[in-house]
Amino acid sequence: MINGEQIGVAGGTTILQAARLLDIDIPTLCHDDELEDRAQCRLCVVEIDGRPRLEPACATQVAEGMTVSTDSETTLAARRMTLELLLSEHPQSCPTRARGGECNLCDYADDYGIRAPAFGYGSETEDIRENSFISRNAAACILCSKCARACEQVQGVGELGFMGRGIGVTARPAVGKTLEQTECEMCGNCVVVCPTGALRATGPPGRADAKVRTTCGYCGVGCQFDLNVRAGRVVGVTTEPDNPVNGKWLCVKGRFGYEFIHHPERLTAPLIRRGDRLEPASWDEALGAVASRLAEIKAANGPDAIGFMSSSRCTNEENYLVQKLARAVIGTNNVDQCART
Amino acid sequence: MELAMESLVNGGQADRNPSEADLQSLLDELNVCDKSNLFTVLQNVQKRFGYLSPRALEEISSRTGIRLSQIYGVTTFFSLLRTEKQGRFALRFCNSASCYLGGAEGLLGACRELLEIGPGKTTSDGMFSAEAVGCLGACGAAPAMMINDRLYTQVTTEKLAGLVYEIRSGRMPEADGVFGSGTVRALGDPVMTGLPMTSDEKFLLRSLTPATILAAVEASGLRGRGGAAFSAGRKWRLCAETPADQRYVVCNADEGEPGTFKDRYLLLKKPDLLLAGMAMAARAVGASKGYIYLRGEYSDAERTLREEIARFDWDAVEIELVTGAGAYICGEETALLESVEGRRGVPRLRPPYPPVSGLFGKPTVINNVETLASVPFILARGAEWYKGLGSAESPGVKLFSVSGDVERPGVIEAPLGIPLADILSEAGAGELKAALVGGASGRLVSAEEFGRRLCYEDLSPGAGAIIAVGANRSVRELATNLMAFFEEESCGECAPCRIGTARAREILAGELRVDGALAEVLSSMGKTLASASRCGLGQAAPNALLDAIRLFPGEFE
Repeated sequence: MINGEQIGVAGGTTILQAARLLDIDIPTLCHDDELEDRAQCRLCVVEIDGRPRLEPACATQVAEGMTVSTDSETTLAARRMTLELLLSEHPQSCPTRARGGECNLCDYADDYGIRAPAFGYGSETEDIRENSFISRNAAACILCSKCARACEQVQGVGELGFMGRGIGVTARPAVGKTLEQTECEMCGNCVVVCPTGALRATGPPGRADAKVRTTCGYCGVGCQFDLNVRAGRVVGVTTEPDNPVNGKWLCVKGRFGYEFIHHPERLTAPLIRRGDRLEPASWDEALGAVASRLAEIKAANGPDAIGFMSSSRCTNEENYLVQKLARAVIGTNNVDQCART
Repeated sequence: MELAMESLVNGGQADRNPSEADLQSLLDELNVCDKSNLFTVLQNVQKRFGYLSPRALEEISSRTGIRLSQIYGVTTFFSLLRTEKQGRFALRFCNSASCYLGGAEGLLGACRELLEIGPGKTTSDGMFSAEAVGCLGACGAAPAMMINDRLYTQVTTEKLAGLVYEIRSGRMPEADGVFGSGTVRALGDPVMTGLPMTSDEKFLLRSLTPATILAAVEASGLRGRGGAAFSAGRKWRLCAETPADQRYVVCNADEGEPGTFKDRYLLLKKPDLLLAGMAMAARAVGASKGYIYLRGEYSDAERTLREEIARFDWDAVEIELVTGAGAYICGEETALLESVEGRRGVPRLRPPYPPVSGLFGKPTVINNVETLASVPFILARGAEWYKGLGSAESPGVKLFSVSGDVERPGVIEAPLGIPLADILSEAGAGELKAALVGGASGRLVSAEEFGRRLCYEDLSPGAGAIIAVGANRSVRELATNLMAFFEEESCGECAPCRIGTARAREILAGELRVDGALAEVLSSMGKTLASASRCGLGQAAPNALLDAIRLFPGEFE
């Protein structure tokens, strides 16, 4: 029973899961449906009849006859206190909100009407550029460990962790290194799970007018994501948990590989090298040049003097045509594509 | 593996720059290739080179496949592991409750005058570094300090000057003993502090069957002596009945509760009892391997234990000694297991409990030194005899560590259920304001309540520390000292404890102003820590403070 409402659930269900089935909202900061719970933030603690202390709803399994309260006086007091303690380590001017981003801690503070937290606020820190795509702001971090857990459990990389002990703990790569100097794959999944934007995508904030659901063109997995668009330009990529194939997770290509779309150096016409200059040409001219040069090389050196390297960004159909071109037209088996490596 | 007996706290090699060849050959010698002994490897590398260089940590990561972030996470967690060189002689000044009452603050001042360094600093010639540390387990002879792996007690400004002078003259001063004559005694018939076991008694033990041992320990009602007071018999039974291909027995010798030093006594003077107890536990539950997790600061006990383990030839139980590296939280049983497994000392979520899934996921009995050392007597003299001592729900005898404002501090053995006043009287207490029972995480008891009985059903003794607080003491300052201890020792994993202990200490020390009545703000915060923290450290951290506010409200205005 939760807050007076009965529910029957399968063994192994957590109190948090059961509450959601009853549309009872329990606030969480360190919980993620796809990560192993560590029950660190203590925001989801609830009162259970017969137990001496409050227990975390995310990590406590229901038991036969269990009676739970998510909004008793003790529970609400603990929740407020925990929020106030977290705010005492958080800058008054939240760097995430300042950029128009979403900070779950500040959101909860608003929800619970905490305007003048009892222990004040924390100091600000400088952003640290971890690598080309990811920046970190230690002051905004609430030490929920979701970044470290996503890096380890989802990505299998594990280059983020907790350093130090007690109030001095920081969530970061090994001391003395930036993510650039580690095996970080820049997948950005840590940014996705960070509840306060302490880990964020480097670069200007991308406020979107519209989101366009699409399939990634970079490889054959076919992850889905939303291209964030403003004034006709793609300004970022976001993911939703309900995406088939990948849910909210992506790799570096899908997450950050959109800059080529509007890049000033992007090719917009075929170019033929004449002398030491690249000159624009028509498709007919370009294809004609390629066909005649390939024929010359094949005649002079045989078909195996030519190799074809295709791309996982091509569709299956395009890759089929490339290997057909290689084998049937040129007569060589020297064909491969970058997804192999 | 036989390494030189330099203990972990020795900074003596700090002026050597380890060459790549030195590093490689040491790692070969330590057989660093698997993941299961990272904690010990880090300590051994530091023993040889004085610190853990980035190169050393990279090479360990490369050989074991353990991620560098995990290795740095572990290294930066433990106070005794360091990634930078310290002075050749590391001065560690205990600043926990009993030493604080004994004048430890003055020593830090004296150090500043003598050597011109404060905590965390090293002299420019690289000779000395200073540090303020948590309880060193020599509370009856406060104030205590260590220089490298040697303990010095009853340190005054003059004594400190003398120690520094000797070192500068090229001599390493002899360490002080902790248990001189008169410091250990019993009220009633001595058991743990009495005569050694006879060889007949030991012979008898070796022939007992697992079922007999288990039944006797259950019948005796023995409860854990490390503070939690859980039924030892129930714990062993649960472990024995969990199906597994491997089980472990672990002795928790990470005595770190301020005011507690009774395990040090047992480890130094009665190691045979501990090993016998472990052997009996192993036989009872079907464990073939046992570990003793000994706090890194107890270098004297390390020597004694290694000798005793080498002598120990009972049974098919292999006993391995693992030293800690300076983290009070590793006295928490699951944090202890985490550190043995090469991770940060962060307590686990439970269930499952260690008897079901413990060390390396196997069913594990983990017990305090005193608990295990009690077992041989129970088996030799009978469960009924043991139950006859003590009180209804707390059978047996307990070792109390008594310190603070008393004339005759030390280890006092007494049956559980004895009134607190009797212990204080035996220890020569004068007029007291209060007593801290159970150490920093215990309860503050005012003089009116000294008639209460020390047993789990009345005034719980915890691990048995009793710190006497004299009539002229500031309870507020003492509470601040205790909170500073928890702030330093918090593992940092959960928000209420990590942040609450720091904020509470700042408020008590006058560093942080709050709106509203001090007592109310601290009580409110304390209640959340007590009810919502992730482990016993955070849950117990506000205990003494809440008692102090209730009993001495005038000091908190």
